[in-house]
Amino acid sequence: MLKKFHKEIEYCTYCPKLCRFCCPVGNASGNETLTPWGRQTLLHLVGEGAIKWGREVALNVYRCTSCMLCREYCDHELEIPKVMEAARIKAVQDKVQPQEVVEFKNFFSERGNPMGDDLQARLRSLLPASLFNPDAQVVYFPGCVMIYNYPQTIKNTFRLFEAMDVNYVACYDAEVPCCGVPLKDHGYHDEFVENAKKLEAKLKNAKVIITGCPSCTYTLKTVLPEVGVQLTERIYHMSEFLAPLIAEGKLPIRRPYAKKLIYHDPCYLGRYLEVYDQPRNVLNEVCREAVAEFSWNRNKSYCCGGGGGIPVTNPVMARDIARERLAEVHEGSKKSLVTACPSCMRAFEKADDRVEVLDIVDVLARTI
Amino acid sequence: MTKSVRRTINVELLNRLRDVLGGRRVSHSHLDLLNYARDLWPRSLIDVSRGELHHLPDLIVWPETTEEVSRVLRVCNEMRVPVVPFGGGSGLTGGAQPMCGGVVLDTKRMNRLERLSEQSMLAVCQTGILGAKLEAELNRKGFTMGHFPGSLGTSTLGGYLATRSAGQAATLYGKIEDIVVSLQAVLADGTVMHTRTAPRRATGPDFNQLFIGSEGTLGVITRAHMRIHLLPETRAFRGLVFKKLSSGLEALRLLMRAGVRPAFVRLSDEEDTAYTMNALGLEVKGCLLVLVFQGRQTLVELENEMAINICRQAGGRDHGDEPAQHWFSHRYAEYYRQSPIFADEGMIIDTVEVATTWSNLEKLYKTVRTALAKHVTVLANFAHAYPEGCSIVFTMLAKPEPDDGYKLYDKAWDAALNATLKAGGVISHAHGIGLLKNKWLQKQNPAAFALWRGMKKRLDPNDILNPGKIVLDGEAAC
Repeated sequence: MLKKFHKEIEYCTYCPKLCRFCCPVGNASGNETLTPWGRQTLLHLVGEGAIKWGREVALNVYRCTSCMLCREYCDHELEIPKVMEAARIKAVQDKVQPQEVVEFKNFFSERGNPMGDDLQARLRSLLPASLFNPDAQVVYFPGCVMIYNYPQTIKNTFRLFEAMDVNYVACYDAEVPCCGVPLKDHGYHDEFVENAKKLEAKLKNAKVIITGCPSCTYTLKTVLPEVGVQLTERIYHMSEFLAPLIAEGKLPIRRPYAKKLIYHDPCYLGRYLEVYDQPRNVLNEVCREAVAEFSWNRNKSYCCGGGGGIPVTNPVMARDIARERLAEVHEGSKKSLVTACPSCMRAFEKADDRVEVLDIVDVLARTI
Repeated sequence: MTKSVRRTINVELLNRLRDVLGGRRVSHSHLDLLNYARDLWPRSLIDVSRGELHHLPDLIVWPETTEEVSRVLRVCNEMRVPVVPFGGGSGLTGGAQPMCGGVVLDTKRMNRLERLSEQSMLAVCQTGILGAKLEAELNRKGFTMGHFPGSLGTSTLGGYLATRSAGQAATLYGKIEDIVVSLQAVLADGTVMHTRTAPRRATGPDFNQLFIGSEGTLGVITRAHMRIHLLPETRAFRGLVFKKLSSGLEALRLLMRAGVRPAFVRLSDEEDTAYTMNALGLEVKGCLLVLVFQGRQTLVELENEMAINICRQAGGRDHGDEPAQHWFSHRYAEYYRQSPIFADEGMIIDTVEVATTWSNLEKLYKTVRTALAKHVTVLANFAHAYPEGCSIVFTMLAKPEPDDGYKLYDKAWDAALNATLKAGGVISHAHGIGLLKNKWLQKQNPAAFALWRGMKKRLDPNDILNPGKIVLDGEAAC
């Protein structure tokens, strides 16, 4: 089973668990099974015929946030989330995936997105019709989590464009509102490919795509080509698009942002896309005080608990992971958390209503 | 299907523990039991590679407070059920293997740094906290505990205390028994006992030391006051090469005698220099001594200068700061090599870590090295130097034949520990006894062993706490 990942499985099984301290699921649960070592040991034992592959083993492969922090502490640079992803695909093929996952996928299939609402209608109600130009070459792709949870951030995005005289960006009309990453996260490979093809039809003319969500950026840019869907190569996260414009002084800052902020690196923006400086540069241009750092930052940033489908399969664990990350925000002087990912924002807000959580776009919009 | 035996669930035990902890913190999932059937004893690599895990627990519990530990132990004591305290499961001697089944008590949900006293330079910690997490928390606040075992990323404070652990910087900060000030432990019958927090005391025998190194056989350590230090202002690195190992050892002894205290010390023999250091990218011939000083700038500069002079006088060639800097930045890399060595080359790597006085050090080195070399490839380094003596870490690389099982591995250990006793060394400096070394512990000091048995009988009359370890012979205890 999973022969392609033989090295990952064997190396982890025989490793002295050297990455375990950074695994958010392992830390939140305290359970040996829910560490990279424990999950890989189970896959090894399946390969040895010591245990059967089935629902119980599959349940454990769904307990990974895909945060990839373990790779940063692995001298062999093993990418365990990729093993988990392959195991989830097999779980779906063998119909041994957890029931919550089946229900989630059915919900997605019925509604066309993971939120359940008519996201296209929601998006269109937010912005003037003139911003939805199907022939535009530069397209803003907000992503389903952003449309459903953070409409104001989308409005703020276009306020910023207007303030910087960026008049060539059109908003994607969200007929297919989701990049498909939740399907991929849950092991629904065929459905992910189907969604990718639909996206291809909608986005094939775009020369530049800007997204509001790092997992959308990564999926459109890196994962879609792996399944044969090649969009433009010029796909950027909002922070990458904004950084040079702001550095050139295009943003008319009327009042610098005065409150204290701490920046959280989203896993997809950081470890997956290696975008660390741009969000910081953008914030430091507009903030009166230097933006604070978590002690676990940049490529060592700790997960928010919102990835890998964990909020669906284990919401209590997702909450505990977010709270572990937020503990540092509560130390010292009062501060707001700023990040660049709507899934991180949602995970933090659900875990702790005492913390103000902002997108970098919201911070910038408050300065103009 | 499974090659590991499934045990029958004791429903009464399950229900009583669920009453204490709720359903979510008690597991009898077969998959969880499999992942708690081994620690990092290299012998169990052979087991897991074959899909054969022999010693599964019946249940796993995750208490979050001392009170919950006490209630769990009361239930288990009443029902005469074995309890195996479990931190990171990173031990190298089988100490956390549930030989007799029973309940594995995982401490990792007791994972908070509860309080930090800058005034008294103490950190009050729950003992399930992982070493790397604790150190990161302390660093963030400007402090360090100064305890850096190779297992830092996966081991817990409770594990350090229970096994008398040493970190790589033990020469400066001491072993864990020097770092702990007071502790809280739960006895087999659920009684919670504390030792009082004070810098030193003269109040009879030191009960901290009763539990430190007891490997979960006398009580479960749940909280500890630990000494902390300011983060170092600076570091200085030095690498010196000696033609002869004896010259390097003499230099190290003179450093200790002069009161020079590098945080990190490692003198490699020729083979270790060639194999380990060269694997880290250091091309050196001879015996490499790496020294890392840390602390206040003035002191560090002075100690570094003194060390260079002492080492030169003893015949060392100064190679500047690069070798030590390189070793320091790769100092955890050797632990990652276990997987490829086992998975790709079919070899087992393990460490025999012994200690003795300076006057006996070369004799111990030669005797153990000769004994081990008959069976396996041997490398050695001298780390953790103290004014009175030093530890020797022998790395053994064994390649068993496919049907050999444990034979070669066991033979090598027999040879090493028999030789250690013959040459007057102690059989463990920092890894503990577990299942691996209890036979030799008895030989090392029969009178002390009998005393230990008596204490065990008094403190745990029903022998529920980690049975089979330290004073009893594995499965024979079940």
